[in-house]
Amino acid sequence: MAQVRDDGFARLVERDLDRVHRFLHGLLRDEDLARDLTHDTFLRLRRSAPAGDDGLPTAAYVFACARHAAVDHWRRLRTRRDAAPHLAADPAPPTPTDAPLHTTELREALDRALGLLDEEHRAVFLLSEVEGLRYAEIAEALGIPPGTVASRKHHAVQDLRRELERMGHAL
Amino acid sequence: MRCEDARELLTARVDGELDGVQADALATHLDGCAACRAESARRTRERSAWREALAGDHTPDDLRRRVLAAPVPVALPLLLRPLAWAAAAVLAVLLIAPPLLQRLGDGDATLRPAAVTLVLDGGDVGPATALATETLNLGDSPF
Ligand SMILES: [Zn+2]
Repeated sequence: MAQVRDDGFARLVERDLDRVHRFLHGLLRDEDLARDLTHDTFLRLRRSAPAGDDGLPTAAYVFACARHAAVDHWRRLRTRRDAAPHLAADPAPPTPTDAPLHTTELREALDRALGLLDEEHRAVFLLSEVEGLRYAEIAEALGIPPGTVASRKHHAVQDLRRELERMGHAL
Repeated sequence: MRCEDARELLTARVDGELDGVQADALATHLDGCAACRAESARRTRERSAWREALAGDHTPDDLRRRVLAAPVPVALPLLLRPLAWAAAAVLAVLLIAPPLLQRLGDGDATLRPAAVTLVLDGGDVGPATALATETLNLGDSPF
């Protein structure tokens, strides 16, 4: 395999840090957690990642790593709750609406509406609508068929739109 | 084509994801359906507005610095790798055994020996995720 090259990792950070962080923030809806798991994701990529022609792993691979970090987190959370039943009744903490940098009304409404989607639809929506990945790349990143990506994207859009209309943000 | 089917294709078309056959079928439906034409225009507007609203974030500088400080993996010569694995195994036993015995004694149901791994890179390994999910890496990083 390729030898250690610092410039390659720096290029990867340059290319993907913002979008991995943004994706994990949207998926997890918790900024501290998004930071920790973004850091974890890049540690993984630093240690081991298949490089493409440009010497960097593909976007699908990078987002697959990010999602694995989130899945690992949820699994640990479940294990802890199973081990400590008194925690099970605690709802997930709400997303702090003061956290993001953009504070437009639409942004806040979208944030709230995204919180109502399940994780599977939210992941597809964020990767497609916000990060601009192709359906084939999303399918690879999430380990689902491209047709499932298409239907999840469509349903996510319908649900978000309904919710935004309810909040007075129809377009 | 029913409007309901056309709507899902519309979402994909605005994402640039329709193949020729699907695009033709949708175009035929759109020719005769004003409601779906309006829907198509709406999805196009909506997509760019939503993307603009959600895509502006930049990663905080402190996180960027932390990520860039990730330790460089150490690539060991092939001949030395068995030695490294042996050393790792000995270390793993030393590290895992005491808490293992203690937790077994406590009857801890969360015990997950498989989740305990080692990181040889040294330095900052960040939160528990890295430890819980990384397998021992002996230098197949592309960087
Ligand atoms: Zn129609």
